[in-house]
Amino acid sequence: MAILVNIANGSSPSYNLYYADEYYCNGSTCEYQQSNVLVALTSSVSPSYTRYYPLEAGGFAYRLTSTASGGPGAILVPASYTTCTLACSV
Amino acid sequence: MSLPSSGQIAFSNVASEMEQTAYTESHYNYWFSIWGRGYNSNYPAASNDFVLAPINVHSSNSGKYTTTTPFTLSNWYGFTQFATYACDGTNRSLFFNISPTAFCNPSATIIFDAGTTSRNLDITISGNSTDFNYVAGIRVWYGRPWTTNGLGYGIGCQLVYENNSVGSGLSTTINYNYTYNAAFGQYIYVVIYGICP
Repeated sequence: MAILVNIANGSSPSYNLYYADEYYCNGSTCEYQQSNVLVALTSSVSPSYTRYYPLEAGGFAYRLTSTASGGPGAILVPASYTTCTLACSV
Repeated sequence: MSLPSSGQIAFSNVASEMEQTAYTESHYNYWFSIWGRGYNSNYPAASNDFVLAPINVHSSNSGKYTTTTPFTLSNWYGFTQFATYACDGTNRSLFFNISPTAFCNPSATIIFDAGTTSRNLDITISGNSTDFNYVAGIRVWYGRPWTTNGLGYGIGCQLVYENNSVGSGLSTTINYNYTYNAAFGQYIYVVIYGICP
């Protein structure tokens, strides 16, 4: 026996954090709520700052504005859309 | 890089391989038995304390470094401080480079190559009380946790995990969100350091 160490790829995805503008999905329309909301996007996705991402839990869409370095963020769906209404329709 | 497998070898060659080329503290300089086994390496030291590079106990270095007195240079033939393991889930042994009963504060390290892709990593450490006998603590660093002049630590690295109460053994898995940082490099250092028996 000995002290044993192993490092393996984790089973859960890692996320990158961003600040984003938040939009409330009200039926087929989008209602701007606030800026600088902390969101999380899986690190395997190359972020687009001109497209809209649905909230994984539904009900909101987000447009990324800048990267962030820490804190809990709302998890977004990796698929992005050209308009907020499209993001709200999924 | 590695030390030559035969022929002439000098203290300075080992110092360079151990990444301590700028280490000039007079009463430790070329005190081979001290820095050659990583004495005081990675201690929770202040920035002006000495933190030497511990011996890399990668399997390719087995038998290539000094483990007992008297210390001889020829034991270091073929040693490489930069040998790494892949992050492939294989158990790797981490042990003291020297009998902890022979000297205070021995230390050893193994290095994993995490690459340049950010992702989640599971870091598993295990061992019973016998395995951790004389081990004061274990640390996991992202980035090299010592400097070439032996002064201080924590420059260009990130402390991932620390446990200073391992005497009864340890079995843990740390989920680490590895975010590649070019300034830190792509290596994860797992270091044990000892106590005086």
